Amino acid sequence: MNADELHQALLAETEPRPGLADRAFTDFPPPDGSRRWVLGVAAAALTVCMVAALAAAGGRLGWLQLPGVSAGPQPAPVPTGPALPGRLGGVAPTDVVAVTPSGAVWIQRAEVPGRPVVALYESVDGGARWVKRLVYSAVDMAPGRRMWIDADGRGLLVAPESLYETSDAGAHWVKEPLPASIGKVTWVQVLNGHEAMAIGTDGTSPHSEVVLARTDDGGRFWTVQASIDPMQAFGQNMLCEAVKGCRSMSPMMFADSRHGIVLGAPGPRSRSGVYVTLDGGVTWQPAALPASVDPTHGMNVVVGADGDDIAFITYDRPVNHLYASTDGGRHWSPARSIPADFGFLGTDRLVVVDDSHWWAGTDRGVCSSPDQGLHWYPAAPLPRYTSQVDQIGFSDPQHGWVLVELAAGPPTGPASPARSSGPLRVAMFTTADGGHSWQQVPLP
Amino acid sequence: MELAPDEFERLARPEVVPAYRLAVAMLRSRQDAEDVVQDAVLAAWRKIGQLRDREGFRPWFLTIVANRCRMALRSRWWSVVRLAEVVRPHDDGDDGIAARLDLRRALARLSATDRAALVLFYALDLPLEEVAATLRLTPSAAKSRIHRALTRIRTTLAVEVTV
Repeated sequence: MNADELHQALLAETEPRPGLADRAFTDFPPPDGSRRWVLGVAAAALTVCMVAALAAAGGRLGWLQLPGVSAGPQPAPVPTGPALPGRLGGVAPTDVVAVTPSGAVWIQRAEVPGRPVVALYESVDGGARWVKRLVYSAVDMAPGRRMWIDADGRGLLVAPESLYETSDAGAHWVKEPLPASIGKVTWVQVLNGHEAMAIGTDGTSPHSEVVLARTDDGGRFWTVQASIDPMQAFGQNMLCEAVKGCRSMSPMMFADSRHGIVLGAPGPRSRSGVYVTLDGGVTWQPAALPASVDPTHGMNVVVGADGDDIAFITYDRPVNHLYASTDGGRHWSPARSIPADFGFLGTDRLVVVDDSHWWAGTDRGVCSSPDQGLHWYPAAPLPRYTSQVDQIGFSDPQHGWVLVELAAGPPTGPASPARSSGPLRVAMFTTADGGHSWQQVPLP
Repeated sequence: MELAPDEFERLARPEVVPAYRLAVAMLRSRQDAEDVVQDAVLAAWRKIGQLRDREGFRPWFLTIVANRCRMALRSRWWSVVRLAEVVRPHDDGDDGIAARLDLRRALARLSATDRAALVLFYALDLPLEEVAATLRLTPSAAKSRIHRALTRIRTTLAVEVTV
């Protein structure tokens, strides 16, 4: 690589999203309108006090009208979502964990400033009242699905050093230690109320053994599926960077206890690219994806109902191709696509409930497919003050939820995919009728 | 220096993308980098009186960005894994993907300041003096940084570049 190539490579590696300059000046000039902002703020405060006093006097005297206050219909207020400071302890500021068929909504949040403490909340009345069900420590955990509650009320939550079980749909949780064979969990994907895949280490030194383990009995017993090169495991990603010679550039993703994918970095005897496992992470094979697919843009995996067809999705703008394999991941072809009119599909925003119910969250809303991705139809539109879908999940064909970003500014036009910088504000909506209508859930 | 808001925006807007490149190199997070750049724009506006002339805006603004990145890195006491983030697609095939993964991996092994030095010098084509000023180093120290960073990434990439 010469200087020109290094120049181009660094430019490509640091390429911004379109519209960066506009986003950078979203809040410019600041409301005070002057760089002498302290004086400006003081003057503004004084002005506000004077106007308020005049308004109060006017109210008594009956003659002073503040312009725009009482004249004509007012625009619909933009709901205020919680301000989100950023990920903490590996938990998104607000993670929707589940919406059960009974209508219970579960979310988790990292909410103690300066401490990686995560609180799990439940609401059974559409968000009117939230009950804090569990508080746990999540030091150095990577993002991943940590909790699941089955329809029969059995549930599992895996924390770095403990697991929590419930048999009454989360009303009570029993804390159990993790076995020594898995040590401290740094990443977990809870698949259902009794199955989970996890990466663990004793964490005492950079040479500690790192393992990929699986449980199918609610966490009582863990089977070590693969050992991971400890010298590579504490690199940039904290998670494993080597599984059987394939160093990982992203967390693993499992569609079930057998099928998983990982984005591997090149090793001494392996090329970069997507690796697939069909045996729960014991062995990994390279997936021969078309050259046009760039898995560094993100990826996801789902498995067909018969357990053999694997569908792989990646960012592939503007066509939103979904790639599928029918031979265990060796060969892939673009099998489906979501029309660009529906917006840009995020990698983790495809939900397959069953063969007749595929859901996708895009930067323009939610769409669904009744025929495994052949045709797509928009769900009921979300309110126009919302922006892109950040999270989407469905417990069954009828019950689902979305967490959406609130668009910057007042709702004066159609939802904009543009995302403002600064604190992210979100709103949660649930559906109980398969996406025909959405109800906003007030977040705690 | 006195500037009206629209004059400031005309001056600062072309520097937003270079600032973002510096920030994303230091922070390795696109969202955090955007936040830092937006924050730096407001900080620059409030401090514009400290700037002597327009010609000095770019290194001055990049210094603000670098300082904000250092603050962000200091406050980032936790460690999380992020999924591969969205970047603009490049139609350069599997070899291109491998090269980018290699580069990303090599950069990740460098310190934030070393990454910043590489990006300032090789991506933004800043002269050594401006690289040094942005990173609060002497020119010789900046040159050493770049040389050291190149040496380190040579173990992963076949880099044939001299400072």
